[in-house]
Amino acid sequence: MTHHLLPRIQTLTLYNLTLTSLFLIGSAAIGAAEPIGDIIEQTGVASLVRSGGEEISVSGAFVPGIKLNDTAITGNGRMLIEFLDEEELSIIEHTRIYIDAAYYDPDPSKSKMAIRMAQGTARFTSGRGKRINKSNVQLSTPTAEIAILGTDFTTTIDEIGQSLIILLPDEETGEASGKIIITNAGGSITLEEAYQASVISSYDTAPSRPVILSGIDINMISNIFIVSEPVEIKEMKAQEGIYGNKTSDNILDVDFLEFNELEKDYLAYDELEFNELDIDYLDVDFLQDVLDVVLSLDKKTALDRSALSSDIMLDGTKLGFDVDSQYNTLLDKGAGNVKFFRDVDGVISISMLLSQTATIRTISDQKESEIILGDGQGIIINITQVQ
Amino acid sequence: MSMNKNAMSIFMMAGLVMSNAAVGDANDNEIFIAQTGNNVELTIQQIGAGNKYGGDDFSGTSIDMTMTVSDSYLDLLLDGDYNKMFGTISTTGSTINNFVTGNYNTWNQKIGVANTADTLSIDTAITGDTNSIVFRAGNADDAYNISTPLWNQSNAESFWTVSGTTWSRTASGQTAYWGSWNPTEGSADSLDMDLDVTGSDNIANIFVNSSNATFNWDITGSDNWIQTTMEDGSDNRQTVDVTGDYNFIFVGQDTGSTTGVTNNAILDASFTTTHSDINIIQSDAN
Repeated sequence: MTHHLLPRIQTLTLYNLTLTSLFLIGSAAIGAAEPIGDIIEQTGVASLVRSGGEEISVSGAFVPGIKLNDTAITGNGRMLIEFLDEEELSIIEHTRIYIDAAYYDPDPSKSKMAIRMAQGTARFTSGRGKRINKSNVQLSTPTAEIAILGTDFTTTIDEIGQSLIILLPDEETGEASGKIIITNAGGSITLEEAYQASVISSYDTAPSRPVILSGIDINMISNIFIVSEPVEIKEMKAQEGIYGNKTSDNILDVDFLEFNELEKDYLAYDELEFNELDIDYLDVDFLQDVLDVVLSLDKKTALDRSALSSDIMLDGTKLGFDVDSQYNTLLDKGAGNVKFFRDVDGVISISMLLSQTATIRTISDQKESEIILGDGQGIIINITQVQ
Repeated sequence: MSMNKNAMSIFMMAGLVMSNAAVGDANDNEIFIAQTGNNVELTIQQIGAGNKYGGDDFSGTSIDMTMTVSDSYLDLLLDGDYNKMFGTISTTGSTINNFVTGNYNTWNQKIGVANTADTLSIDTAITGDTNSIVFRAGNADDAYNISTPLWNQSNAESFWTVSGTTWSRTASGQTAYWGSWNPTEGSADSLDMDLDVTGSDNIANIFVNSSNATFNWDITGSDNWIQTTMEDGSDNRQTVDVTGDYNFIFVGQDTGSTTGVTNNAILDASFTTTHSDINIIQSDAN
């Protein structure tokens, strides 16, 4: 335990120095207390803490503007913030972000933005506007600073500041959305390929060598990495000895479930053989996405869901586990019934005959889904879940 | 089965009241029960129509019978039509069996009101049509007494919304329907309750205010209105089996008594039905 404690102290010390310097930058850029951005989507528990310490809850009834030196905090909720130059900052559950500077000068070379990702997972998409040079957008985590060049990326930061940074693709071209340079006291690396990732364990330890994550999409990045690391990251960390102590309580170190999505042979998988023993009770999206990060990538999935089997007319989910609806659907042809099982914000298990028709509509804090069995007209089941 | 002095006294008192009532109307037995004690073993079986259990002679507005017993065994049986049972039972560690066979019966039972009613085992079976059931375990709020189905298949489009402790549903042109969690009175923790309803046009409202409660209920019949809520605690479990058409089902599970702690509600339901409006709320918001 001792050898873990020291790096942690060093990390925190250096982090404080970083914060102080960033704060000075931000202070110099402070102008009028005008909003520098808006919360354009929000769900669940989220708040802003103003520089004076005032905490403002964000709700559908009251959505405050983003001001300089705000701290954006989510509990069991999410926010999507859009800044004046159309930079977007998508924040999922249990995340804390400091907005230190946002100064827009008529001369883009003099504009500046500084944001600190303190904990949790956030996705930053640089602005399409021309009001700020990308080189003046300064992002940081507790263990690194990130320079961007027209970029879309995510950061995931655990309780002790270790950071996982992933460069995302351009959603239209599928190519890398730009380039990011990760720097700290230990060195510097550049991510320039889509889904290239690096782990930064402390401020004075160089960022890990980049690895490319394969077989994933933005949906997985937004939702799964918090729970389980990609296998490439595990292998890289093992090779580089980043985490030697498996008893660490580091969230990035915890293998709540084997991340086997990349190893599955979906072509060989018979959905009709899915049964209750196949339910992975951990393989659920505890961090469902309402910020529509997923939607643009989700259309194909939606189109593929109907007519899964001649035994069942099902729409809105699929047999086996469906990532979008978060339902496990089990078909028991022998018993002539179908079972829908969901364990997210409460446990729902609904069984009915295959000959029945039903509409199962589920709305939770973050997501709404509709499953239609047959023509959906027989019974209507409305499920509301609130956390 | 041994019978102690308490059990004996119940039989003597019930018998006395029954004999008086029988003078006026052979079908209207009235049983006035006020009992305090432990280790009571009580069996009351009423056969015929118009029988009543309560806390007075039913000459005016009836009041609840009162029983304050613990570690007891109670069998309450009504066999006939138009029977009524109004009862408040304060008890812990007891087994209660309720059996109603007949039509147009009214059953209103409160257990654990203003007292604890923990670790109970309750079996209730209703066989018949057009029965009205209100059953509260650790919950005394009369405002939960919902008598009229306001929703049916034709206007079942809307989700329920939950705001704080209040849940509601509205649809265009319809009267809003709402209720609220109110986990303030009594408790019936670790309750193990079974309810079987076989019949049609029954109205059942069951409210459980407890932690770690298990509630299994089966409905076989049509046009039934069933509302259940379980609240104020953790890991409440309901197992539901509904067979029949045109039923309205409302299941509310609120497990949010501890701030910041997720205590999942568990619902295991099986539906064999058409034209039914089934509504489930699971909340951990309090």
